[in-house]
Amino acid sequence: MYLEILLAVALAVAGVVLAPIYDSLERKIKARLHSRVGPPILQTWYDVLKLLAKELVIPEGGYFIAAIVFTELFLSVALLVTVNFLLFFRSLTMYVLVAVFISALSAATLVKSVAQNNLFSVIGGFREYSVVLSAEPFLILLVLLIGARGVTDLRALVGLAPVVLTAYVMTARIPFDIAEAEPEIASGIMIELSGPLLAANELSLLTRRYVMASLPTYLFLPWFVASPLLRVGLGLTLTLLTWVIFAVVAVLLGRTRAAVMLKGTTITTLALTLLFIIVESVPYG
Amino acid sequence: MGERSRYLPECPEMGEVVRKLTEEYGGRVIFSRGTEVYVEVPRHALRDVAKYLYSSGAFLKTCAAVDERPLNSSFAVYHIFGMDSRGYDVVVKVSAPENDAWVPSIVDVVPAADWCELEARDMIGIELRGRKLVRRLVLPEDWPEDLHPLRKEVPHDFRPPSVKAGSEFRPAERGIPIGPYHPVLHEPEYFELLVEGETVVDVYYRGFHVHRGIEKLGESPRFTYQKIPFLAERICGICGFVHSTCAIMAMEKAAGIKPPERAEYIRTIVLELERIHSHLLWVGVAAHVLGYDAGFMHTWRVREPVMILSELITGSRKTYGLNLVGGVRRDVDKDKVGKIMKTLDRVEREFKELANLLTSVPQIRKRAQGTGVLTRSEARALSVVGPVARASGLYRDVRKDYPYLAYKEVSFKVPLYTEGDNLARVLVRVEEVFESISIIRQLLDKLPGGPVMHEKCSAVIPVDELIPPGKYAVAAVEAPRGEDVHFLMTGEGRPYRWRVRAPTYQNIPALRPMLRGDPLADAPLTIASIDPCFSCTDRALVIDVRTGRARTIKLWGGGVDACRL
Amino acid sequence: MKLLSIAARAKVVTRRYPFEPPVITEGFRGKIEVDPKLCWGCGVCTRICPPNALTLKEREDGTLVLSYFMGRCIFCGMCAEVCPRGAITVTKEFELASLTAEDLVRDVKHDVVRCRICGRVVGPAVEVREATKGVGGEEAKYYDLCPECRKLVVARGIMTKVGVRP
Repeated sequence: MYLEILLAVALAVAGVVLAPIYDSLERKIKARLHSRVGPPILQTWYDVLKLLAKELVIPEGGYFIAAIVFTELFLSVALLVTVNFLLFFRSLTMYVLVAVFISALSAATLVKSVAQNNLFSVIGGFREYSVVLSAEPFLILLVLLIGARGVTDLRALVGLAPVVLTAYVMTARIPFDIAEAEPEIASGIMIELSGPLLAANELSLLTRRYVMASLPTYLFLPWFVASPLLRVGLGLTLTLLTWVIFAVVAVLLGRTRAAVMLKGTTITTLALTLLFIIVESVPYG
Repeated sequence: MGERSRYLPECPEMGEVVRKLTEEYGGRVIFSRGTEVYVEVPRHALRDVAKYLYSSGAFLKTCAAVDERPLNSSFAVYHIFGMDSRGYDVVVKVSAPENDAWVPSIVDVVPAADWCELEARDMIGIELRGRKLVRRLVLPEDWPEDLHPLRKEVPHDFRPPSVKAGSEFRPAERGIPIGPYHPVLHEPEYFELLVEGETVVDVYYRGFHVHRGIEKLGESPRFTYQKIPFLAERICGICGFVHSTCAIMAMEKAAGIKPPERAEYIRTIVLELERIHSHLLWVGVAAHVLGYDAGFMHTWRVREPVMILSELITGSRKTYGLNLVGGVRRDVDKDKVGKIMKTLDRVEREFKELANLLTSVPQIRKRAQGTGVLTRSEARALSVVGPVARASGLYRDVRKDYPYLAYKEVSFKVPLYTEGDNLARVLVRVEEVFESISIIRQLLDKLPGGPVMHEKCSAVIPVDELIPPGKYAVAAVEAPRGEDVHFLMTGEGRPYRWRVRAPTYQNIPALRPMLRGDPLADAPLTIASIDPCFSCTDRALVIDVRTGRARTIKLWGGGVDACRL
Repeated sequence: MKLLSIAARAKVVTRRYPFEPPVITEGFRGKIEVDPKLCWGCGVCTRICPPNALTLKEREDGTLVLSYFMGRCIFCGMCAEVCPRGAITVTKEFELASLTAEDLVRDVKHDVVRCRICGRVVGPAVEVREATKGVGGEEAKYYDLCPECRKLVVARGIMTKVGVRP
């Protein structure tokens, strides 16, 4: 058991370190698809470190915003740790914790956006709200279902589809980055953040992306693979693979519009989730 | 022309118009040449004249106010009406004596006159009777009262003190400011969108943040005719050659100088090259605004060979410095012709592929279709120009209506769409790229031999001797963004009055009907879809006061009134 | 998707400037260079220069200086076209950035010929010398006079000849 705890913690730490590196990798991939060179593989870390070195400016909304930003960071790391524990300890509690952290994070983002006392930020917040509404409830439902029922049959892999879809939406990549939408609302929910606050915000976003890239694997893998080391190996590899796939998809699409997205994504996710439930409801054997 | 007669009457012949203006409205012909006629009418008749011309299918191109007090103790306003279907301009002049300086407004008859009248009021200080006014359109909030920059006594390099604004306007509660600095804007301008939820209900516009005083500079002792094309070229960083060519054309018209045919062909080729690069740039920007950066990057990659080609031919990627009065400075030899053809082939092939890709991305199609709609009647009333007009069913293209340079020698299509939405504007520009490529190929094919500079002109000869004072000229060129008009009154060695009306100036007022009723998310795309070139728009008449001076006005100042027209 | 095939064919187009040379065509206009051996200080270039990057000014030390300020130059090359001596060449140099404005100024100094009566500047020494080369005799004694003084001297000469007292 101690081995598993150790591995879980190690993976979580690895996640924090790797997330910015994967982000740089994503930027490289994006660049190559644009016929550009792209930044070096440590660029996002350089960016974070640079931001940390800058002057701390407390935005209009006051210290409260700083508090929210750091709370968000804490919650993101907590989510990462919990998800990694999920890989080894398949108790319902873990799954519930994951669900709680995910929704707490969305709430924190909303509070942060409204508290910034800036019109663009508030608009971004409402957009974020609509993004979250179209995916999160289903993701949480899937997480809890898997936690409660477990996964025993390959048929359950039907659930990969809605999980992957909702996980992608939650990473706030194009076409769902409307909360930030630089050409439209000038960085929306991040508009008042700068320096160390922005660095913290960036880190928590990247950590969340890492979690979302790992969720499809971590939700299903432990039920099919027993060896902890194999889980580690496959977990890391498949997370990277998922991240790369997400990255390529983001390059290929344009940004969407709130109303358009709510309908389409919600319906698709709903349908896929229902499919999963139906498939799982049919008794085995 | 059959396209046009579906929604506009056919314009009368010049003779008939002249007769009507002189006999019925008491006008007097000041000057005429084949493509323009200048008629002075008494003040009280202006509105009726405007009504008559407008109902005869004319489009108001612009109006220019001139301080003619040194000449005849009066102020004058010249309204330039274009009879598109016949290809000639009617310039209607009204005068106001110095001590009774007012002219009637024609904005209710011709809505397109709105901005140019206000600019006349700001710059010359002439009173406009019969219309609602705003405090300032072009001059900044902290400009002193009663200081009108285009008056002859104001030196071009005069820097007035900053005067605190009398009253400061607050925007409505839910106004969303886009500008003056905003990621989607490439130059500072200020749009205030009033929204309910995510739907835009009204728009206020406040521009002219980058006034550089170019028109005034052109009149100043510092400048001569030979320097003007270099100044004109810097009106815009994308369509600079259009302005330089149009200014030169006006000067050549006024002086009666006809440049050699080869020079005209070269000018046309470079103009079309500029159109290609401008449209490619714009398509990239539109993709970026929609979040599709891949489209942006690749479109600009496809555009790059055009820029390199421009440098090869003219000496610079932009600001070509190619035009001089009487011709062009550089020739295009066989080797260059070959390179042009090769580059065009490559651009055509790659852009075709890219255009297909872009229109197939679902987000782009969905967001561009049905948004930012400008109906044809709105377009006609506002006299919009260029792709914006052609996407709303208005068949207007200076290259066809008032053929200039070598356009009479080539055959090409002018794409026309009727939906008037953002997608239509995208498609018009995409098709124009291919048409431009075809035009250049035709021109290169039949490029005439001969000199590229008129024998009487050269860089060294002071052109002043060739351009007498007291002449009029109107020249128009189809820029990538639409019709660019230069109005010129010649003086001694330099213009007496040089008015530039850039296409974006004409198109911005159309944003109001376009943005209303649409979701906020589409606002940036709609704003970008008129291909705004604020450098062109703002370039007019004020002295640049911003150097090192701290402003006392707030961001919102003037935003409310400026567009409540 | 189509994008992937486009990207694969296009490959990376970025040029790693400044580690690679930039793309410059043969037509490119960069900064100009004035050859001091050829320049006469006549000032035609200063009259054609649209942004007034080339100026001809008298300095306190009594010299006439043709000053070229790259900060204002628009690289149009008109000066090279009009120079009667062909002293100006348009180079392909454009990497001109500097931390000090002085680095961007290139001066060509000319000694001047001053009017021997009133001391005003007649013209650059080179110009006066070259323009009057080979001309001797009566005319030569007027070349170090400014136009005003020259008129006076000539007038006096005529009056003397005619026998009128000035």
